[in-house]
Amino acid sequence: MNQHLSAAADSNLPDVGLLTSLPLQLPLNSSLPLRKVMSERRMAVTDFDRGSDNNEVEIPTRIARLAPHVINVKGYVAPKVGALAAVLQVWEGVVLEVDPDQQIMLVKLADRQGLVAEHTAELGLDWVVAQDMELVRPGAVFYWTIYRETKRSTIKHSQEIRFRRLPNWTNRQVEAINSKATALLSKLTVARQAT
Amino acid sequence: MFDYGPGPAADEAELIVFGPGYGEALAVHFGDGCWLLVDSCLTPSNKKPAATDYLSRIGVPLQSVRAIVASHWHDDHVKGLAGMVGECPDAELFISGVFNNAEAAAFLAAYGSDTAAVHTGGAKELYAALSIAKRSVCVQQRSIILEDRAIQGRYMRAVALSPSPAVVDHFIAHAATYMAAASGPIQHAPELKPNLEAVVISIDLGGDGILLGSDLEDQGEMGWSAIVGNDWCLKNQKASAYKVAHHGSITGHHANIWTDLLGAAPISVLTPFHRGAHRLPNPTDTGRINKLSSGLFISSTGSKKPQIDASLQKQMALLGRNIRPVFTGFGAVRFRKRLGDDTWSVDLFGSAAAL
Repeated sequence: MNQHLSAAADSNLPDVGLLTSLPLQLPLNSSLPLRKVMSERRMAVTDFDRGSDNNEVEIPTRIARLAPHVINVKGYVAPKVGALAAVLQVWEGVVLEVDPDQQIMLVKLADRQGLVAEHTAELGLDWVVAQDMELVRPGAVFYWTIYRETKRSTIKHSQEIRFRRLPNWTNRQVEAINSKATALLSKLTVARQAT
Repeated sequence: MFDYGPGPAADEAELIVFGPGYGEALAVHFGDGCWLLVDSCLTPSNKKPAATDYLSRIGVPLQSVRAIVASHWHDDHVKGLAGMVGECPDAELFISGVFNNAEAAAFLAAYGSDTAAVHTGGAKELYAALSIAKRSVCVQQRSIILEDRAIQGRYMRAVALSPSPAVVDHFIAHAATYMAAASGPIQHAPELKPNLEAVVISIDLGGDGILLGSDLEDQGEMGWSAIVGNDWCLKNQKASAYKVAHHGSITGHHANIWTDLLGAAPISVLTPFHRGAHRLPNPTDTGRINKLSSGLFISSTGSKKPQIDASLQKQMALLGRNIRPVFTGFGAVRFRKRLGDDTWSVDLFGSAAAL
């Protein structure tokens, strides 16, 4: 299930979602300069790092701040002005197991604000957006956001599950890993064997 | 927090197992203030490593810890390990020998260091612990972890019964799958299943023994089969106390453990494991182990109801099911006996219980 606050699945533009799933590398045909996207990403991270419950803003403004590509998506219908949204809960999840037969994934959930205890749950794979399905595997990280929208005294709850996209390894990272691995190996000794 | 009472006397052996519902930690007293710690979990009330928190509460100086073993790298067994290593300045850190090669070291560096923004919880903790430890030692089958010829006038030792050499190659193949390559995709690194690389420890108390089964499972000629099929392993002191492998699961069971590594009707202890609807031990496991033991105890029996506000739970139930808390209640099971005696005394703390 994707509420209208997430990027439309059929877009040709990079799918950014609502949280930190903004891609670190834009495709060559992106219409936005990289600097602006990175500043928006920092803003998205800051919203949740504050741990603040004061997330009620107009939806179109919030989307423009956090996910500018969503506004530009062909066929996307922005919610009407006047709607307010409050984030009720953000879980950072890790996939523990995937059961393709039952079409569920077993996940471990950690509260992004650290206020609620860790939990496990089984989530249906049909709640994962199509473009995230390739990311679903044990160890994958996702964000499950639950929020409340208030529009002219009508209250509506919405939820979103978006997976974190990882960049490729860089040369510098690989060099650093090899260096650290060498240092680690040099520290290890072998235990004496019993006769 | 619990009132653990005084620590063991100089001539008392002790095994204490801590479990918060997810995770486990063990402490073993050989006698004469000589302690071995195995794995790590956190005490929920103060987030300290459970084993060193316990030692501090019973008045044992942490310099008494001679060795710390990280039996494997799964995050439920190493939470707080780095902190524990930092607190025990005189202890050597022992890890599974599967890490003593370039591929596995690169695996730990990739998923445990801060090079990339992708961490596997267990790898991160193990990497941090290895960075802090003054001396880190790799063990495999027949490795000596601790040896002393003069504890209460007895020869005592702790040796590793696993991993076997075949498992080292098996793990290298797994680690190589996740090797970092420039321009290659970063992948999340899941735990190896089944767990064949865990360190099983046989403790000889000079006439009696303790067997610590970690999370070792069995597959083909690896895991428990490689232990019970090894003549050297079978010559070790049989144990009268057993920390049951892999939370009592059938995959961690091998009939020959009970006939060849343990004495008749040992006293047994295990920690629970919950992953969604998957629970260990299940009733069949409990029945099987109870029949083989003179007593079976579990470290945690807390409530499995979600610890989430009702309205939020209602929303979550639209997308998810079997929502369960990870940590269900902290408890500890302690076995103590005077060296040379036949019977262990049992103390239960927190949500620990007899099964």
